[in-house]
Amino acid sequence: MRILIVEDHADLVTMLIRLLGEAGYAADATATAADARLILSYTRYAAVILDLGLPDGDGLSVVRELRDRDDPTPVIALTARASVAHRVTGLEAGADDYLAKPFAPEELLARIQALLRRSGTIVDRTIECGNVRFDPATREVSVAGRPTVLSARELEVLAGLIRRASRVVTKQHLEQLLFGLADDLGSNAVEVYVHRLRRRLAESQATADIVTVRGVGYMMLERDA
Amino acid sequence: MTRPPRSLMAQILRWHAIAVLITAVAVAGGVYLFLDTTAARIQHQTVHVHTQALRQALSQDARGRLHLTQDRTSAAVFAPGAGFAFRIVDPRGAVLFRSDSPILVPLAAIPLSHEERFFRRQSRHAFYAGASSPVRVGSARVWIIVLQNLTHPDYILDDLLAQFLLYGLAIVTPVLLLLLAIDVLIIRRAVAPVRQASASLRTDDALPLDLRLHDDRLPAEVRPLARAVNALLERLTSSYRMQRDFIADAAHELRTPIAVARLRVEEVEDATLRSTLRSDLDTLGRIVEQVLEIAELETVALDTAASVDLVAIATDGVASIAPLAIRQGKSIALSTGADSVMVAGHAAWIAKALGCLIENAVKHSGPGRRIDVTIGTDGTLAVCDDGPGIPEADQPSIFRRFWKRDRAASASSGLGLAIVAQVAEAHATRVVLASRPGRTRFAITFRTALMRR
Repeated sequence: MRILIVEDHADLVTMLIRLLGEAGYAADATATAADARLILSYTRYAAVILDLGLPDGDGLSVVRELRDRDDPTPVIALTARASVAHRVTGLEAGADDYLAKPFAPEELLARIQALLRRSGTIVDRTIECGNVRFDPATREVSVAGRPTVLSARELEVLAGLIRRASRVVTKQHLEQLLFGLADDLGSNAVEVYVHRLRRRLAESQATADIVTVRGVGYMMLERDA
Repeated sequence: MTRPPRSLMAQILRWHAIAVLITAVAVAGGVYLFLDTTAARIQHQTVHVHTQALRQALSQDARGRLHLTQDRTSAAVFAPGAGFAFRIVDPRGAVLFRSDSPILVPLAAIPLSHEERFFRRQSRHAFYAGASSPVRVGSARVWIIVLQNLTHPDYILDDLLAQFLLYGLAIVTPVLLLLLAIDVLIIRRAVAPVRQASASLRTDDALPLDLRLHDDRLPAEVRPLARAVNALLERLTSSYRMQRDFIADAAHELRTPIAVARLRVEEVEDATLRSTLRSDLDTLGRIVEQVLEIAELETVALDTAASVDLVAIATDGVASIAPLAIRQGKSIALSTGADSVMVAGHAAWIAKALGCLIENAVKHSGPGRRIDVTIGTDGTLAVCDDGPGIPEADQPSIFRRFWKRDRAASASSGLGLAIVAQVAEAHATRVVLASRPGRTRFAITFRTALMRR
């Protein structure tokens, strides 16, 4: 999977190529917006990491050009400006995500992965949280290697939570997942199924917890060792 | 003690009114004096003419006796009720001849000297003019005394004078008042540009950077002042901009090298050192970010007119920081008075302020503590924690930039709460802090927006 880095800071480019290489991506780099435009016009990349402060003009023009010809290549905008106003214009111009310098390497990798997943470039085989494992393709769940049978709605809640493990999933989001199955659910349906799911996980000695963030939603967390 | 400044208009008008008053009195007095002198001269002449007529009528016979042979005119003048009276006295004061009309003054009071004496008295009790003239008729020496009764209806000069002054006053007073009124208009017109210039500077909050005095209509006296003020503003603005740009550039130029260093750290072999360096660089990056945010808040006028949902902002805010809080063994919860609370504001900056408040609460409360974010239907956003609280002495300082209770604590930029305060200020509101051990509450009340629908 190739990723194009558009960045004029040579040190940063070196570090990025190394980081991406370690994560299993191949990366090309260019330092100017003009080159980026040229390269993108004849080569397809899985994703573009685009610095907005390029020597020959605004990186946003690169995104705009991509979007103008309906090229859906995911773009992560990198910027040193990172002002609040700038963030808004960056996303409006068509960047898929936005990362302010400096950033944590794992944050960049996570964002790239999220974008690739969203664009369908990568399909996870299994998602893990603690000893809970979920296979999105077969919708099979196993805890500590033993297959666990969950009801359709419990599975839906688990899928919603484990996909976004370590992040908060809002109650509304879970509601939407559940209402996709049936629309005769009570107002406390989410609470009910989360409660059941928790019990099922506890019964099978899972090392992942579902934490309630009252008023907001739930979060699946790997239990500390 | 300084007195409040008096308006230019009031000062000019005051002095002008005084000048008008003095002029009016002076003119009235002058006219009166002039008319009175003229009247006196005319009276003197009249009395003198009649004295001369009497002198012509006096004669001495061979035996030295005096005779008075008045002609008809003279007789008519001194007829009773005609307003004139005469006495002719000898040096001993004995009356030799007299008119039938009464004389208004006791004879003894009339001065007799060796030359003609004119006298007049104008009072409430007596009102007359007269003259005593020594004359020699043959060998005899007598005084002819002629008096004019000025209260007599035939005497109109005085009435004229009184009428003139009365009418004059009736005409002059309105004219002077009108002049004063016209003055008000003139001064108003002349002062208008100065007023406008002053009004243009009068703003409720901090002066905008592009503020200038428009000097093209200002009077010549004030124009140099306005120019000087403008030049000063210009210099202030440019130095302010330079400083702002410098801060933004500096923050900007720091970010990429920090990003490089942050990536490079991952190659450090020693795990402890790696994690320390990582957290150091994250702090450094955070400080740079907040410096940039402060610079942006100070220089860009926020558009706070949009209708934004506080509940949505708080849901995102709590959701994004909850993993950190929970990992640190703290609990965080959001409670809202309604499904959505619409306020007028700038969503991104409100989110930023909320983020700073929650981060602050997370940072300053120990494990096991809970953080409560509440949204009231009145547009109040509040973040409470049950941490140790903020000492009262520190409370006024915490919104200051780079303020830290513990100077040695390096993990904090000291800018978070300054950003919160500035966001509140940009929304024409403020941060209300209530803190005691076990409960600290930061609250910002935004202006509620009317629900569309």
